[in-house]
Amino acid sequence: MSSLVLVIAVFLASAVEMVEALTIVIAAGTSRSWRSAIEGTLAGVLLLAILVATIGPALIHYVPLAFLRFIIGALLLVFGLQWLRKAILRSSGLKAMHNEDEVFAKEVSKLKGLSTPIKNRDATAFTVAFKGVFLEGLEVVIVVLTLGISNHKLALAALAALAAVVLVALAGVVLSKQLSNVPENAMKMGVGLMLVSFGTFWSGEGLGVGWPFADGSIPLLVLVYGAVSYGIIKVLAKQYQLSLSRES
Amino acid sequence: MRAIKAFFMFWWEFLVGDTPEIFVGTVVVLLAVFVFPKGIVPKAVIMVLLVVATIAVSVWVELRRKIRSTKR
Repeated sequence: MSSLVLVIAVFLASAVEMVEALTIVIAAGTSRSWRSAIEGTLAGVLLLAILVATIGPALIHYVPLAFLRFIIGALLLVFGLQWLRKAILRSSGLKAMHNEDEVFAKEVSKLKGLSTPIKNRDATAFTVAFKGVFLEGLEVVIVVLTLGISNHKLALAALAALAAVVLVALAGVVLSKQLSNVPENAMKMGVGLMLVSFGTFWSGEGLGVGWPFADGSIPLLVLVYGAVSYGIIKVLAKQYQLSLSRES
Repeated sequence: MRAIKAFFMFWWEFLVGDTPEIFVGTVVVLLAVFVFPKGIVPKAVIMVLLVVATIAVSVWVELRRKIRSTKR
């Protein structure tokens, strides 16, 4: 069961970040140079793969698993709560939904204002694509490393991330638009719930918490946190509307 | 020196960023679970309740912030 949850969590986290990275890459490609944007993307992906391949096995071999799980659990808890908070605020109307079309338009206008690209190669397109892919990908690397190492399934986690990257890239090519129709907030909510659940479970284990159904507690935690988040969204939206109507 | 500073800045941004209440909340959750005596209430229950409280407080802080900014 936890393998399936692991694959879903890594896949969704990677897909969300990939959509954001792809928007930046398409903006760099259309407004500057496709060749350099693709080269920048490949350089970013390569550096991320090197990070996973070097840091992952080093952590597994040299750090005791119990300690690693506690640290990883705490990290996932912070990381997951940040994602969940953002998704709850967006769903309740307190925060604007992430709009890939807006991001795309902003990137294009910024890039078009710079100097004209030289022939096929353009340093700006390369740098923008590289930075976009690398920075968005770093979060994915952390999710892959933490979930993969804790479950002893680093290869499976890396494959799930790779599948998401390929799928989103293909969707980007086929649809040739800025993926604004992807339900990013719902995906962010799902990933947030899973990361918080994994984080609670592992950091709890590290602190000596006895979970009633062992690994089976993870899906249960997802359900509990999901129900609580749904309730919070409803209350928050109501409170916000109430305060707005008092103002007007 | 710049690399060390950049390294710490990265982790600061990553863990704390613009939501310090989440970082503080997580530290409080872990500390409370660690010091809570065994036997009275299961630690698993305490932990889940504290995580839920962290989410609730964090979004409530943002709601107050938003309401204050719309009043101005």
